[in-house]
Amino acid sequence: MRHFSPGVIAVNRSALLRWVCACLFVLVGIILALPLQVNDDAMDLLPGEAVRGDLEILMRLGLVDRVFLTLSVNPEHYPSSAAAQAALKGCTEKVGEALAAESSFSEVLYRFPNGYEWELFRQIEPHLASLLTSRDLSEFGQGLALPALENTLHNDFVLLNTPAGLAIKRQIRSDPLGLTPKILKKMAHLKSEYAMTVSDGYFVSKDGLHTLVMAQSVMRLTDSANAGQVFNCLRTIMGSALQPGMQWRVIGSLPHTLANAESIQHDLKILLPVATILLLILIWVVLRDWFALSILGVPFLAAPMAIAIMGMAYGRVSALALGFGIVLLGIAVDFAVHIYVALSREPGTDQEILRRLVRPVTLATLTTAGVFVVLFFSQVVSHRQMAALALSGVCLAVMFSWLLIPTLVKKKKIISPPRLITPSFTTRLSPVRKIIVLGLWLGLIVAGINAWPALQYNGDLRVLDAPNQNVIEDERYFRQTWQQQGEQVFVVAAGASLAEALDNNYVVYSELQRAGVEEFSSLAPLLPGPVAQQQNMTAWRQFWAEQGESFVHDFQQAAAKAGFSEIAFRPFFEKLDRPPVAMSPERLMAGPLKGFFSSMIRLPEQQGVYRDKHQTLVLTTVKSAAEIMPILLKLDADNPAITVLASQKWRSQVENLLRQDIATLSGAAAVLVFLVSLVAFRRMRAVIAVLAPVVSALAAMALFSLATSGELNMMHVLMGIMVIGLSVDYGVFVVCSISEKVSTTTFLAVSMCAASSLIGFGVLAFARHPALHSLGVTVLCGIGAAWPTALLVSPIIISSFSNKGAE
Amino acid sequence: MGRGHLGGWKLIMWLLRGVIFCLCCVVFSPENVAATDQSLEDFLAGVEAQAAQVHALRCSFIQEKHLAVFAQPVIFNGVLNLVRPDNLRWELVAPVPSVFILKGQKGIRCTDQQPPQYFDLKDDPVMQMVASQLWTWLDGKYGQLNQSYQLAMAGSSSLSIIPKDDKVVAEFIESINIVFDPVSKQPQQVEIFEPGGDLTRIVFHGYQLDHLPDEALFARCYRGE
Repeated sequence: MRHFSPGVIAVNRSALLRWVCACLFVLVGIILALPLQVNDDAMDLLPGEAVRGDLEILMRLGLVDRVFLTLSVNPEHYPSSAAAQAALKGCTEKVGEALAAESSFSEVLYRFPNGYEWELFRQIEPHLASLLTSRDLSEFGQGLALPALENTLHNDFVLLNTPAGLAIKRQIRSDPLGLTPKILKKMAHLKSEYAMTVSDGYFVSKDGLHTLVMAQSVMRLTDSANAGQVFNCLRTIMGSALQPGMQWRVIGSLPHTLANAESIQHDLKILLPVATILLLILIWVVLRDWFALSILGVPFLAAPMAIAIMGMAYGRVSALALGFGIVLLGIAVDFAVHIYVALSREPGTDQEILRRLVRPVTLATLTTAGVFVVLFFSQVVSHRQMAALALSGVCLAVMFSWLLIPTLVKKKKIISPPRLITPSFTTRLSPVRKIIVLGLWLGLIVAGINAWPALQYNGDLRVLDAPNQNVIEDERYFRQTWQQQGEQVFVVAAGASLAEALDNNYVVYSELQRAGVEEFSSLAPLLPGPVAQQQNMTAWRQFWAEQGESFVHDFQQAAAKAGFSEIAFRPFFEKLDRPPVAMSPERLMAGPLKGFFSSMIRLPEQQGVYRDKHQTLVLTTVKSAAEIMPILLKLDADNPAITVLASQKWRSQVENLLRQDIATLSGAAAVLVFLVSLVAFRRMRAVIAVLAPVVSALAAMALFSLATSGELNMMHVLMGIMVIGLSVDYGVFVVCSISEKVSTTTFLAVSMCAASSLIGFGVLAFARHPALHSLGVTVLCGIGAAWPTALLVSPIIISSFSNKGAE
Repeated sequence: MGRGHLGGWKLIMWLLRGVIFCLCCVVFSPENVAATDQSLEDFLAGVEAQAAQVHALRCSFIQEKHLAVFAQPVIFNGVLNLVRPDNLRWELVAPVPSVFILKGQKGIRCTDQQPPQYFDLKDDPVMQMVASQLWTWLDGKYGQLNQSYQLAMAGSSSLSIIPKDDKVVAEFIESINIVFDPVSKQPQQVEIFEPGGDLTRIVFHGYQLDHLPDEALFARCYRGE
C-alpha cells in the first residue's frame, strides 16, 4: 500500500484540476469552432475593397471555374484528312453530350445547332431597325441613288441564278439592299479572341484538326479536391469518347490547381520526414528527453478556442488565414520551450523558477501580441483574421503552458550548455571583438536599409503558382492552335436589371468603337441596351421618312429593269411599313447562339456564392494593349457601373496597397514594440538590444530578396510577420536574462527555439513550389540572422549598459 | 329476297376485302419491300461507283428558273467544271455572264458589273452551307443522303429526293428529281421544287469525263482578273 504525503496529494489535486479545466476549455473551444465556415479564396490575400471587389466579379462571371478543352486528331490514323476531321467532329459531339449530361458541368459549349446561320438571320432580320445605328443608315443611304439601285438589284438577280440562289432567295426578297450584312459584319465582334472557324457548328481550328469545347464547372476549381474530381470526370469522358489518334488537353484554373497540389504534396512528402527527423535529433541531442515532445504540444491546446474566437469575430474565414494563423500560433511553442527548459534544468523550486520567468514571458507575450494587434489594421482580410487567431491563440497558449507544463516536467540534472550559447561568451569578449561584432551587425543593418527601397513588391498571385511542364506545354499548345496572343482585359458592365446592364455594356462598345479598338468581343452590336435600341429605331423611322416616295419609285424601276416581278420584294416593303420592334434579350438568348450569349451575360442566379441578388453582369473582352488601357481605365473611373478587370491594374493596385500596408504596419509594430520595451526596461540600450534581432531579421530578408529576385511577394509578408514575432521574443528573453539575471538557461532555450524554427521551416527553402520556397527562405534568412544577433549582439549592447548600471 | 340480296352484297364485299387484303399482303410483304430497297441500293451503288471513277468533268448546262420573283422564266446557258474533291466552277455564259467558284475553303463570285468578290467559307456561314449542299450533290455519294432525305426510285434511272426532318433544308427544297443517263450514270436533268411552287430545272449535256481543266479556271473568274 502506497502512502502519499498531504503536500503531494495537494499538488496532484491541483494538477488534476488544471488538466480538467484545460480539457473543458478545449472541449468548449471545439464546440464553438464547429460552426466555423472556411473558404479557400486567394482573394483574402489581397488588400483593398476595390481589388477584392474586382476579383469577386471575376468569380461571379464564372471565368475562374471555366475549362477549355482542345480535342486534336492525328490525320495519319485515318484514310484522309477529311475522314480525320469528320471523326473529330463526331467525337466532339460525344464529348459535348457527355459533358452536358454530367452534373459537374453547366453551360457546355461545343457547337452551334444545325442551321444556326439561318436561325440567326431569322432572329436578326425583323429587328434591323433597332440594331442599325444612324451611322450605319447614313452609309447605307449613299447607295440609294437610281444607278446604285440598278447595280445592286442586277447583282441580286445574278446571285439568284447561281447555285447560292436557292439558299438566299428569301434573304434577297426581304433585304435586297443588304442591310442585314451590315449587322452580320458587326458579328465579327461576337467572335472570341480565338482564331477559329465554325464548321458544321463545331469550333474548329484553321487546319481543321482541332476542336474547342468550353464548359463551366459547378464546383470551385481552385479547390484541389474539386479539381481532382472534375479532372477524373473529364478523363472518363475522354476515355470513352475519343478514338485512336485523338488526344485532349485542358487549360484553365483546373490544371494549375492540380499541378500546385501535386507539387506541394511532392515537396511535403520529402521535406516533412526530413524536418521531423532533424527535429527529433535536435530534441534528443539538446534535451535528451522524448517527453519534451508532448510538452511542446501543450500550446496547441489553445488552437480550438482561438479558432472559435476567430470564427465568432469573422463568421466565414479564409483557409489561408486559418492555416497560417495556426503556424503563427507556433510562436507560442517558444514560450513552452523556455518554461520547460527553465523548470527542468534550472536550480530552485518550480515556484521560484516561474517567478523568475514571469517578467520575460509577460514582456515577450506583450511584444508578440503587439505585432498581432497591429495586423488588425492591415488592409488584407486574411491578415486581420490571422491576427485574431494568432493573438488569442498566443495569449491562451502562454496561459496553457504556464499552467500545464509545471505539472508535466521532471527535474533533470543541471546542464552546462556549450560556451557559445552562454551569456558569459559574449560578455567576456574582448572590446575589439565586441566592436567587430557590432560593426558587422551595423553593416548588416545599413545594407538592409539600403536594400529595402530597391525591392519591388510583386502583388501578382501567379508568383505563387507552380505549373508543371505539362501545364506550360498545354497552354503553349492552346495559344498556338487557337492563335491566342497576349493577355485579355475583361470589361464588366453591371446593372440592377439586364436592360440596365446592356445599356452600360453599350457604353463600353461605343467607347471602344470611338477609340478605334478592333480586337474585342462584345454582344452589344447584336444586343444593344434599350436606350440605344430606342435611338436606333427613331433614326430608322426618320431615315425612311426622308427617303419618301421617290425611293419606292426608283427601286421598283430598278427591280423591273433587272428582271424582277412586281411581287418580288413585297416582304421588303412590308417590313418598311411595319413599326420597328426592339430586339429582346430573351429572344436572342433562346436562339442558336444561346450558349455563347450566356457565357457573356451573368444573371444574379448564375453568380454562385458571390451573387448580388440585384446585379446582372455583361462581359466584354478586349485584347490587352498599352494604348488601350488608359481608355478602359478612364471608362472604369468615369462610370461606376463599369469595371475593368485587368491583371496590370490589379498588380499596380495590389503593389501600392501592400507597400503602403507594409510601411504603415511595420512602423506601427516597431513603435509599439519600442514603447513596450521602453516601458519595461526604461533604458534605450535595453530597447535597442531587444529590437536588435528583429532589425537583423528584416535586414537579412531584404538583402536576400534583393540578391535573388529583387521582389517581395505575399508569402514573404506572411512569414515576415512570424519572423518578427519570434525575433522580438529572442530579444526580450536575452535582455531579461542578462540584465536581470532571471534565467540561466535562456540562451539554450533561445537557441533551441531558433534551431527548431530553422529546421521546421528552413527545410521548405528546398521546396520546388514557389509558395513553400518563399516561406522557407523567409524563415531561414530571418531567424538565421535574428538568432546570432540575439546571442551575440544583444548581450554586447545590454552588458555594456549593465556594467554602467552596476557602476 | 331483299335479305338474300343484301346477304349477297355482303358476301361480295367480304370477298373483295379478302382479295384486297391478300393483294396488300403480297405487295407489302417484307420480301417485296426489301426488293424495292435492294434495287434503290443497287442503283445508288452504281451511281456512286461510276462517280468515284470520275476525277474531273466538264459539261454544259441549261438552267431554267421558274421563280415567282422573276417577271418571266429565266433561262441561262452555262458550263460546269468540276475537279474532285473540292474545285468547282459554275459559269453562266448567257444571257448575263457570271461565275461562281469554289476552291477548297475559298471562293469567288463575279458578275459582269462588279469586281470579283472573294470569300472564305470559314468566315461566311451562308456560303459554307451552300458549298456543303453543293458538294453533297456533286460528289455523287447519294448513299449518304439517306440520313437527311427520303430517297425513292422514280422509274429505272430517276431518283426522287425529299427532305426528311431537316427544317432548314425543307424551307428551301420541297423535292428534287434527278434523271440519270442510263449508261454513264451522270445526271442528265435535275429538277428542284421549292415550297411555294418555284422550280429550277437544269439540263446537263456534253459531258467530258476526266477532262482536266486549266488550274486558272478555279483561281479567277475571267482572263486578266
